[in-house]
Amino acid sequence: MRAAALTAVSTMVVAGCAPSQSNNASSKDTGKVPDKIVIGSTLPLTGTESKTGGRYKQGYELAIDEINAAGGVDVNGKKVKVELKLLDDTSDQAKAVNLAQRLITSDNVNFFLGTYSTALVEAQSTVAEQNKIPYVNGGGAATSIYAKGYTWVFSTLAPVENLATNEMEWIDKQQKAGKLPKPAKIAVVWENTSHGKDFRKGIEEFVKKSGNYSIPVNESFALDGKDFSAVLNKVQAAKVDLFMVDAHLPDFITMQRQYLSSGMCNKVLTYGARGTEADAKKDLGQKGVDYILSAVWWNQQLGNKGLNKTFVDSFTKKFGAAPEWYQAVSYEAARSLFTAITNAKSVDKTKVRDALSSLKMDSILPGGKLSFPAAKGGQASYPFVVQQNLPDGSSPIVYPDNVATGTGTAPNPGCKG
Amino acid sequence: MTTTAQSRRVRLPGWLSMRALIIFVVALVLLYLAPTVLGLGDYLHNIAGLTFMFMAAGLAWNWLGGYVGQISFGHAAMFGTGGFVAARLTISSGLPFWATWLIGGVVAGLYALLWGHPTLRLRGPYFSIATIGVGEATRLVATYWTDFTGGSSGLSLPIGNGPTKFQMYWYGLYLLAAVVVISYWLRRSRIGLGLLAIKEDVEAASDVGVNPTFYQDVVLFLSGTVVGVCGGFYASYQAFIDPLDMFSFERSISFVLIGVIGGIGTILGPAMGAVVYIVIQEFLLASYPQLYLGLYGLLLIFVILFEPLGLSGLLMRVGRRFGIRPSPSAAAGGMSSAAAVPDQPTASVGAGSTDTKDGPR
Repeated sequence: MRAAALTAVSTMVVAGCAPSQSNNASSKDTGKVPDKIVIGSTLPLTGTESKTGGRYKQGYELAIDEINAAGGVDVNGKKVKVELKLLDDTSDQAKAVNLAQRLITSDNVNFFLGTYSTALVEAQSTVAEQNKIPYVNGGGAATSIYAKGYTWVFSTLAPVENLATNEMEWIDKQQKAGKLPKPAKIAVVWENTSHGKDFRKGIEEFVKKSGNYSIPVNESFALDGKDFSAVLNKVQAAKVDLFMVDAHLPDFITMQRQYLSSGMCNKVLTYGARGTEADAKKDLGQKGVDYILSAVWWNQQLGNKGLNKTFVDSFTKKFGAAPEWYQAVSYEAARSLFTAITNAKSVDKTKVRDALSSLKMDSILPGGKLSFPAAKGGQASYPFVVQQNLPDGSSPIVYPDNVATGTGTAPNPGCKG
Repeated sequence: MTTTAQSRRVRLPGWLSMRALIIFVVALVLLYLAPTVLGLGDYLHNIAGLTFMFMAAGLAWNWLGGYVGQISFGHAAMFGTGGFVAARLTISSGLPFWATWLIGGVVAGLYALLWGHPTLRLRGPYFSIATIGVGEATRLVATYWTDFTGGSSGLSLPIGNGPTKFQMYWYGLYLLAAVVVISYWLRRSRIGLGLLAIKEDVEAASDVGVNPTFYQDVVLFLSGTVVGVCGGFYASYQAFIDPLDMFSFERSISFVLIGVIGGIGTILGPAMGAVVYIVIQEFLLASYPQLYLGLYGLLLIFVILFEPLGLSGLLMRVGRRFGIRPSPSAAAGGMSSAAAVPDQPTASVGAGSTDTKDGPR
């Protein structure tokens, strides 16, 4: 008996340890066009990023409503309706991963639209790559996501490094015009995610090249912070000219509140892509966000004709408010997936993945064209639009010059002395 | 009696009974073959693999929480340590995945000893509070130790180098099998008796020659090592880990929940607790992402109020109704433990060893 038992156990352990063939063979192209395309997605609909998650949802919904209103996605001449299966990942990385796993392996969704925030996309993209399913997102901007050699992950967000560089270019212009000190001291404060690291890298590289800046404060903070007083004290003590932060919306609001309450004021203040959000104005008041510089992936002032006009008009009609960049990038993520399906003439995952890799479509994003270059690991690349909040509630584009609708103000007139 | 006689015939170790061995081997073979025979879908198959891992982690937590009565709310510290060491080794070395899990486990075990050696002198709620502090401090350090953990962004493991998610079912099963054997051995060996003595009364145990510091250190090291191996398994399974999840208080609580729901101090208990934990999580996560935490809380309250021995106790209660008395020798696959039958002095299972009474604390 003992010999039999030992034999059974040792046979299992020694002989290869684990069978390798999955029960469900990966979906092969049968050439059959389905009656419905199911797209899986998760978004932070509750939790710290719920406000932003809600905006991404609007972008996805608008794109799907539009395509369904037109009869569906054209797949080799047949119009196929699209259904979005959206779950709430509660702004939690582990849940984003588990739910994606569930949508792909249990609900058998055809394609995937990504979640929001770099940290969550970074986690979730591994599931897409493991399961070989096309994954288009508008929520993960850090270059590290696209430097892993993944071939199933695509992003409509240009790299955060570009964001920092574009902001520095505007700042440099002000310095050359004599509006900012030379050399200028910068405090770089960044969330300790790949997003934050890219932001820091963009500034550091610009500073190295320019020689007209120094960085006496270079500090990181953990996501979803409650108390930033330690880092703000360091910034205050260093008497810097430029306070440049990379933060997500909840951290931006918390830090800016503490920044204002401690009486701080710097010649230039930026929180990366944050500053123009209605939630920030609501929480901090207009005065609390005045003169904040931000660089974003899209601004409705980019144009009032063609695709941009159609997008803004349909969005405003459907949701009763003007879109922000969040809705624009998610809308484009969904649209690019539909275009790729049409180009692939099939719902076969590999063919759609290849179509995404070679995609070049007209877009509302800066530059007017959207593609996912392989050289950048599937991440779109285009210039950011730099904008600045003014006391009248407007946020004109101040850079690049060819799309600028204002000149911007430096140094911050709100600072005393 | 028959079983004891058989044990003597085939010269099994004193702590092992033939009946337990048979149950163990049959269960192992059935679970090994289950995916092939039942043709589970990928989703259920993968979840089963993850459940095995949680069963193993719950059992390992139970060695400290159930056998010694030292409730730890900080086991996520070892889970995370093991996971990140294994992940770092996977990324930067050519070691096979199982070696990275083992090394991660040993590092986690040593880390457990580092904080556990001084804190295990505390008893009851004082020890529990200390473990909360250790867990939170470890989480903070890990979150800011960007070079090691990747900070809030976490670490992605290379895809395609290790076992597939599909294969993880079997590795999870092997891990669980090993942990069940250790659990059974711990429960039935002299060490197990020493642990129960410590749980009852540290000073009295000391007086009769049991060295509480040594015994508790050994158990904490073993528990930390296995939970660390589970962390390595989890890293390979998810191919992505981040410190906010791996070291979270929620993670520590999950081990406590698994133990308490299933039945602290038993072997089958944490295994059943893990199934309940995963079922609730998976089936409520998609539809009611905030609700499942509340449900765990409710379950905890019900268990503590009405059935302190959790599902094990419930099973035994039902069993007694039908006149079935749990046999102590069924522990490897059953629910035998002194804790499970506090009013039943258990039979001798080995040379000179006798189980003592042991109730939940």
